[in-house]
Amino acid sequence: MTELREFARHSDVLQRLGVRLVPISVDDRQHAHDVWGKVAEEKFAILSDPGATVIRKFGLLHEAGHGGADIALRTTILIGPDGRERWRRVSQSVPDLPSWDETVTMIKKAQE
Amino acid sequence: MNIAYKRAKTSTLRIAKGASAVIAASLSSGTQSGFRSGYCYRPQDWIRNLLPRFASFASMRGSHGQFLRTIVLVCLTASSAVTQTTPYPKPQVPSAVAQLAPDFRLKNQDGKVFHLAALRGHWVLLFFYRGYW
Repeated sequence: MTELREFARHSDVLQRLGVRLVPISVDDRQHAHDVWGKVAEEKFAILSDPGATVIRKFGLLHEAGHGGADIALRTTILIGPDGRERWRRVSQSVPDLPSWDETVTMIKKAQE
Repeated sequence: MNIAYKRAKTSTLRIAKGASAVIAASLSSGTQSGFRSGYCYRPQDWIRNLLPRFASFASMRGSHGQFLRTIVLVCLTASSAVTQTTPYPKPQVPSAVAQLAPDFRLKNQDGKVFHLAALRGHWVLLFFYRGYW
């Protein structure tokens, strides 16, 4: 959730870089709406994938990762204008999450 | 033997009382703020509600207070160590960089359908998060 707050705080930077942020989780629509209002500050849409269909498509399922329920592995994926993946970072633990600075650096590097 | 047993029983009861007070405070701070069970978005509410209770807990005197503080410290250290060192499972797709990202449609918070292919020509940052906050 901290990462989402960071994204919301720096949404103007993402806009300047021409990047559309698309957050996805297994949360249902109601909870996605709560996150949209209270965490994302209504700055970007929150997608709901309760069946983890898309999460599976990207190979990012953390089976029974939350009290027996399936969740997504915390992952950041940058997709270029051609629809190809340019950068993928799957976090291996909580401290392994990419910082905001690292994310911006990778975006700028990919856009060079 | 009986005295030792009574002391141990008293200590356990006091610890249980303290722990249940803290748990009850946590729960009530969540419900008072109108949160759904299990979700919390405003850490300041939790801090405002719990701080006075933690302050009285931290200032408890005598061996019971010290024992209780030691237990809490050990639990916090252990949980922190587990959280920080337990690795997540490996992704099912090791790397897909330079490959076409799979297309998908999902509903957003308003029920509107999002289609990834509709953003072709733009940079997109997909952010998968764990959910269940």
